[in-house]
Amino acid sequence: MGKNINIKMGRYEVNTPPVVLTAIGIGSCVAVCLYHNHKNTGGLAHVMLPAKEGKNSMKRADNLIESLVTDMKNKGITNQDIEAKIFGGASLFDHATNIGERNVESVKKELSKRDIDIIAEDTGGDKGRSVWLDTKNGSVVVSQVKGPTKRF
Amino acid sequence: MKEEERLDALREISHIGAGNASKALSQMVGKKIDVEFPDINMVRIEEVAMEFGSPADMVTTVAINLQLDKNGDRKPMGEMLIIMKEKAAKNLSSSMLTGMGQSESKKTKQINESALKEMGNILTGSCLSAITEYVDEKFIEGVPEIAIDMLGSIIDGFLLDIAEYEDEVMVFKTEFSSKEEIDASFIIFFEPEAREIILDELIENMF
Repeated sequence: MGKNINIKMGRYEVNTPPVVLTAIGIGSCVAVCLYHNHKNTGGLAHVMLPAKEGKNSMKRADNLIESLVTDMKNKGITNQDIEAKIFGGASLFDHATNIGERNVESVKKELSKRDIDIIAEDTGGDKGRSVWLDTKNGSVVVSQVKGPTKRF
Repeated sequence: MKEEERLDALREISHIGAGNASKALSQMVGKKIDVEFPDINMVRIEEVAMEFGSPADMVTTVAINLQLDKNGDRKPMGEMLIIMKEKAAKNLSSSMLTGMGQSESKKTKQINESALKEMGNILTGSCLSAITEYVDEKFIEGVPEIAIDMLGSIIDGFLLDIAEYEDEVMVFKTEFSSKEEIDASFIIFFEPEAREIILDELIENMF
């Protein structure tokens, strides 16, 4: 197992092996995992809020994904070579708002705008998730409380 | 008046609120419960989980939505949470049920959960009644819900609604403890607009 780096809400990071990028205890937030196979480079953005016109903030899907993609571009990776996996967007209480759902929608829109394919997703539901992106091979382990650990 | 002084007014009230809440809780569980001096602070949204532990901590949480009724106009006020380790949740509900004369065999998961929800109602009510003394608004409590999950996952949804408008959230926090391992955090997150209404009225009526 490589070295874990936890990405907090509203942050992102691009890294290479042996680093494992993690987002621990996400609920309605969305972890966007990007990966380039040949360059063994992965990036993770911990999105808090959907994109909103006129609102420029690192909490939001558009700004975070743009920064993540720019960082990867600086390492010589074009959008066509990136594969995306997205996780989170749960709603743990019935009386909570649909912020999780709106986050997932917004993340999908921002990725599609940039021609980035989503090859795996585990979103929605009423349980939190922890996510580990291994930059060695792009595989993502997702664990939930009282549920099976899944690999994507 | 500076923001810190405004918060001081609310701190003062919250001492009374927490005192009420601890009395109510001690009666419910039939044991002496110690209540830490409550604190009210503005906390950066991404740092809130760290105030209560680590985002991965497994916790049982009772959540109650709060609304403020301003002359018939309802506004979101925030969220009240009681966060406990699983063991503490079991001990708390068990003590409550014993206090109510419930036999061991009747303590099913469902009954334990309704005991915790009831605890949420009583604590919220006793805490809010301290504020109502000085604030001329009605508070409306939602129906309590329970979730058992990671601390980070539990609170991020409520915080994101506030993050739409602000980078910091006003957090009311106090800790309950007792010899019998029934430690719990009692928390209220305030929505920005309701926070301003409450603070303004407090200042006006207290001084």
